[in-house]
Amino acid sequence: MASAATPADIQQIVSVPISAHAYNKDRTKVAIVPNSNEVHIYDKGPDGWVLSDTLKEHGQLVTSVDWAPTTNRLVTCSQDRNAYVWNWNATKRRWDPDLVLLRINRAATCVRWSPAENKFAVASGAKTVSVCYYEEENKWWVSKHIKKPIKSTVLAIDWHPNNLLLAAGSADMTVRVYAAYIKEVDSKGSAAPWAEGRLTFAALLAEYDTGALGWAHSVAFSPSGGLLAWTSHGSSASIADPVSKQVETVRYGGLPLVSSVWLNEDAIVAAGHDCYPVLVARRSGRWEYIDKLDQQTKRAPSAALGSLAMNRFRQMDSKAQQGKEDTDLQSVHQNTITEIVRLSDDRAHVSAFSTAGVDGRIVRWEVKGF
Amino acid sequence: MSTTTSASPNSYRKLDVDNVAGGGGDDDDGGFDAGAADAAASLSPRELEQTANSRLGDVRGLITRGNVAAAIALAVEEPLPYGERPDLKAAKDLAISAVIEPLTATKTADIPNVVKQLHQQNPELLDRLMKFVYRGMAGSGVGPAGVVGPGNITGVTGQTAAALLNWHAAIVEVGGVGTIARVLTDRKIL
Amino acid sequence: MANTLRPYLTAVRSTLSAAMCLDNFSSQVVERHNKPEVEARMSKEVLLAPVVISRNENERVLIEASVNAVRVSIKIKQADDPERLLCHKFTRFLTQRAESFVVLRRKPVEGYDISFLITNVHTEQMYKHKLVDFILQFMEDVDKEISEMKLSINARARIVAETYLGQFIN
Repeated sequence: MASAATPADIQQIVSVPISAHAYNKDRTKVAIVPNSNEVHIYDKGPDGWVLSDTLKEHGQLVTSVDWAPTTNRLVTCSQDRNAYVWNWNATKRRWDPDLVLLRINRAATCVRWSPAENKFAVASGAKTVSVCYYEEENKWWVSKHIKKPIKSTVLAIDWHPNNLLLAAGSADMTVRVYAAYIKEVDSKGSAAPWAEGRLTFAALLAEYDTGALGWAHSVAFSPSGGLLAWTSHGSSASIADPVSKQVETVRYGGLPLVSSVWLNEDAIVAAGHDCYPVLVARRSGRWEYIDKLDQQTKRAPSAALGSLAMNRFRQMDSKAQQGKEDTDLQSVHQNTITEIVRLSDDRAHVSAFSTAGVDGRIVRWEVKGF
Repeated sequence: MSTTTSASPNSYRKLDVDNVAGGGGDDDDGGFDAGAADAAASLSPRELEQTANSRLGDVRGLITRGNVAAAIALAVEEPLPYGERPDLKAAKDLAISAVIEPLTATKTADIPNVVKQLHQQNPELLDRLMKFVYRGMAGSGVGPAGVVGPGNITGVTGQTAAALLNWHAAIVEVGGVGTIARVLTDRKIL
Repeated sequence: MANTLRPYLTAVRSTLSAAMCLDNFSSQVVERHNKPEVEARMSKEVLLAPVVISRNENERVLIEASVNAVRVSIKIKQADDPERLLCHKFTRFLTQRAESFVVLRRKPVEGYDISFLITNVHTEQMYKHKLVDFILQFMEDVDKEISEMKLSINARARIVAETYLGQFIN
């Protein structure tokens, strides 16, 4: 079991929040969204990340970006109701955008390539998930909508490894699993244990109510696809098993988690408003909250010695604050972590992951103890 | 949906547009049904009041015997009178008193022990208790959005508030700010 | 009642930390708009349960949270008429300059004396824990200022009375 993760590489890339980030296949490039309508691509140089390209096409905040490792395509979606697929033009040495006909009338919140990279799904505030594929005859990306019975903004989506199923977590306190089989581009496959027999597009295969635990901020299928995990705003993480029809919920004492990634079949690492990644794992058959993965180093107090005691008492008395007068947090990230991304190709044995946060930092973590 | 014949030609000015066209005409289903959670309560106000009454009696018995932890565990159990309907007020007052009484009856020094006991028994008890702590601080006779005004009589007395604040600190000590996050996301109103 | 100040502030601090977990959330009702949902109140599912933290009948804090904004309303202790007047004037002074405060709301929520509106833009630009520190510091300072002002009013009244009546003594 993982005992800790060490921050192997801390980079302060920008001084603004990073809304989303994605790596290319060999992790030599990273696409980040610096809380604006642009996407910046950085190359890994000897001294850190160097800006190499800027993608300017969106009119409003870009909410999500995903990089398809094999086909080397980028997809971005934004609050301006649009999504673009970007292809690398080797001759002109630039990224060319391809319009996607999303047909949504509200902001897009999250976009993910499917495992086979022949389609991608876009979650939106139009209470819809748009699954898009390439239409050869007209040379554009068209979409099919999954609408029912979503009642509010879809906040997060994740593809099943079989390329046919999609999980969607939304603000109507529900997590749903849909069949996203598109006959134009997909070949038939098995969707066990979530569904039997034929799959029709937008068929609702499972629905989980988060109830009093609030909005589902992130959803993730396990590496084998047999389990579905989600994190909710009520400081909890839940794992659903379609075979036993059980949902195990782990409630913990920290702040809500907004992004999560499976490390292997028995462990999930997640991060959010607490500014450090935490580990939720299955021990002796039960899922539990293990620990935070950021071994925070104590920093020496910086105030002058004479006033130190006086300051500390004054703070304790008036502001009910036990700590030192220090703006910096003790964790590596100084503000909310917005996204966790897997850095290993093998979904079932993740040895490294990357976090990006509101502090403009990207941190590469190496997992110890597996 | 219609004011058919109206006296003045400007009667359309008095029409409430939001009520006529259900907002967002393209969706047939519309949005999230917030009331669905409340409507699901299966017990009638009468039954809830009776349950709350008998529970209050049991709780008082446990307090006199000194078993505060058991009293609290009993008081926060379902079914509880959730919802904003005015006929639930009697049941709500009883249910809230059933929790507040053991809380104020405990000595300040004992509070951390009772919290640890409850946490070991069932961590979810702390979440429900925290909800009652906030409800207690909002006071009785409180109107919408926590407003205490001429129509709503009292807030909470200083003594009760002091006890509740101590409980709040003890629960956060054991359960973390996660318990507060769960109180915020729990939309069932007591 | 001074010994309830610390637990009161601790409770406000922890509740604010939990409530200030904000996200950028585009409006579901109007396309391409981004509004603080706690003010717009157009979608019930993105609002969280409001909570009240009280120190006694006269002092309380109401925290209403939502997915992208949190509204903090404070009821300041006003024991008698001079304090009520001072509180009213003081909060008016502050709210008229709400722009410099960034997080201050120009009009307090009904039933309270002053309100703050913190949105996801603020939590992106500023540290969350410092925002919480600011609000707690504010709560304390307002009480202190009003007491000081009341004392100075009484002192001035005494001086004025003495000076005026002094001229009648021969």
